Amino acid sequence: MKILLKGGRVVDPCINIDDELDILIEGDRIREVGKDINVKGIEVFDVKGKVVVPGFIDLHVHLRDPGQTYKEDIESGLKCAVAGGFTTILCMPNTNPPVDTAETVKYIIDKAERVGLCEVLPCGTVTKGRKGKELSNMYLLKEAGCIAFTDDGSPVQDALLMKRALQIAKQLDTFIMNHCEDDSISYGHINEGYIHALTGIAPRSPEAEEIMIARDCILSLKTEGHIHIQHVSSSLSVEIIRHFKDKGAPITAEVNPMHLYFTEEVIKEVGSNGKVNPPLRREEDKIALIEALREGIIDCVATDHAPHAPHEKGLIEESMPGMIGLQTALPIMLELKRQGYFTLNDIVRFMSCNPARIISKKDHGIHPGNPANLTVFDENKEWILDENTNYSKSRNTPLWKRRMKGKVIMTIYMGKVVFKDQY
Amino acid sequence: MCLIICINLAKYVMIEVNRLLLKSMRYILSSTDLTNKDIENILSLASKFKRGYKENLKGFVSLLFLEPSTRTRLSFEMALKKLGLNVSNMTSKLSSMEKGETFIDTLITLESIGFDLVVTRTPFALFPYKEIKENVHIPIINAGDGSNQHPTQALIDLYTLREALGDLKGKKVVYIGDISHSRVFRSGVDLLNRFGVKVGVCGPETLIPADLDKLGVEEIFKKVDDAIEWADVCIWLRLQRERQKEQFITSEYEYFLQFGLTKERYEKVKLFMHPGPVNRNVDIDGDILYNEKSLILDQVKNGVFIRMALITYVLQSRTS
Repeated sequence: MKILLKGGRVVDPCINIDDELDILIEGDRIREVGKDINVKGIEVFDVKGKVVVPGFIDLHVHLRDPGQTYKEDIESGLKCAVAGGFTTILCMPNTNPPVDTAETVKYIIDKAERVGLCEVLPCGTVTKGRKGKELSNMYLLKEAGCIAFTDDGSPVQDALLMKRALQIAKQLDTFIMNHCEDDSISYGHINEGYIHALTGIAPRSPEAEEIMIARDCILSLKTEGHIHIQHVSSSLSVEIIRHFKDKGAPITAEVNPMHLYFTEEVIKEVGSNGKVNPPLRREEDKIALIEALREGIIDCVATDHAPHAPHEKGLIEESMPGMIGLQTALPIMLELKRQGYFTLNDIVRFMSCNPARIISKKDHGIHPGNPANLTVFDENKEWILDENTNYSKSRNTPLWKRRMKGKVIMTIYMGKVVFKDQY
Repeated sequence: MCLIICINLAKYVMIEVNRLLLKSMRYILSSTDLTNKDIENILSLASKFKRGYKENLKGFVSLLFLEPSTRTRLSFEMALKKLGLNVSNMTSKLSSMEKGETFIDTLITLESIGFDLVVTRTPFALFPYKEIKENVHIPIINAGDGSNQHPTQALIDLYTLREALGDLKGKKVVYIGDISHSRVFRSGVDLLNRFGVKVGVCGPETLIPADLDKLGVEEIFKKVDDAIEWADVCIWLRLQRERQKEQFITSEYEYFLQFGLTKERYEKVKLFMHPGPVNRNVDIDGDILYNEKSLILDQVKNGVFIRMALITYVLQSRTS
């Protein structure tokens, strides 16, 4: 099976390509990249005027499977992923049961392989049952296929447990991801800012995040264990990460595109669809996060795709935190590009090259011999996320029914076209 | 043939009329649901009621109170009964919400049963109101939602301040105490600002949210004595122990000494109010609660007339 992508603008900053090129795919590999490739009798896609990039990698996805499949399941989640241009995703272990046994890891890997749309790398829990008391069997989980460990949604509160987890992960050549929020200082729903002043709805202060990020950065520096900070949201957090990266601690960090695009003010329009942990914050935080990405203090964007059913997204104080985000990440990044913050190269680095580096994925990129994982998008195509275009089982996002510009039109995973735009 | 056209035309007119009626549906969920003109109309109607004017309305009203309340619930009940309306009381322990029904579904059910108006009191915020306005098509008056809004109390305070001070332009009012958890403050600051009042706040630093300037607060006082000196009227707020999930103050005794209305401070205060219920000797010294500088009982009395006026206004804008 051979496929030829003709005339697209191929952008891959990992290997410094930005040129109008053809790409020949044979089987599951990229065979050739160059000008004027012509092979007769094979499938040819004319992608002139479109952008071709190495498949996006999302380090933070909630597939809700097993156990919460009314919100999402592996099949619907993977459809979202490839519609958003992702060919590799890391799924979070806060399922039911949580991913703390080899059996559950196997269930996810097997089902993802059967669906076969993209690569799914499960994350295991740091602690058994995500209870924060006792470490998981990290060796067994790694052997079963876990790429990293996190108690996402229930941050590891105990500092000693986190230190030990970092040491053990280091020896296993893996890493710990943490959703940093200190529970002793945050129990509310929204940022401690204007909307809190306006409504009195209990806040989650930025210092809850900052304190735990500082703790984890210190532990990473001391243990030399790799910590990946999930969804950074405040400007002081950026300063803390910068400080410890400068000291040489093995820290990486992600940001949710929603935190780059929205501030707490959007809650006035969209209510609980604007509720997420950590919360949307102020304009100055948003700008600091964008700057941090550009400087490399924050390494990548990750969607924290977090589906919830409509009945779990009622009034703000009663609703679950989180937003779906797989299909809207690229449009948001392209909007920020149009606003002058990012280049196309930047976007590919944040969504593809840098996450590949964090998970030590060496054969990623548009290079002959590498797996044919590619995303083709149209920068100017306008579309609306609604019942017709949404692949998720849920619709909890501030972007629901909003017009966006920029859309993935084709996703290729291991040489197969796994998504083709129909609208 | 002509008859059929006429019938269809009549049908169309009915549908349009219904649509327009629906559009004019009044939801008083937040102070921002009232324009300045609405407020003037409501306040002058309240004055008419206070002077003895009577109104006889028809309809069924549900008081859906999911939080403890004495004065607000009974004040609404008195207002409704004086207007000749039928009142049904519902509290959280007796409601289907105990069985897991959502608040919106409860409201939709009340609409279908045939109520003409629902007055709600909830421990949670209704903000940003869109879901309710889109799903419920009978008027709703918010009688307090979490720490968010309490629009009728704001109208009462505005009315009582006008009675005491006349024109409010340039006058100074300070809210004292638990600002963070106060829906009275949040709906009040908006209305008072709109009528030219300068608003200050004073209270424990732990109970004063950031970004108050964006709400129109002009001064934040560290010392209550400075606030008292500045203000034409001080509004003491209740320390809302039931909403406080952490330790905000050292002790109630210290709180009273530091921020409460003591006998000594009473000498310097010009006029004072309190939305009730009062924690005696925490917010205000019990001995001076109803002394001459106190407008507390005026607030309570005016409450019935304000609510009569608002209910009349809401129900008439629906049927007119």
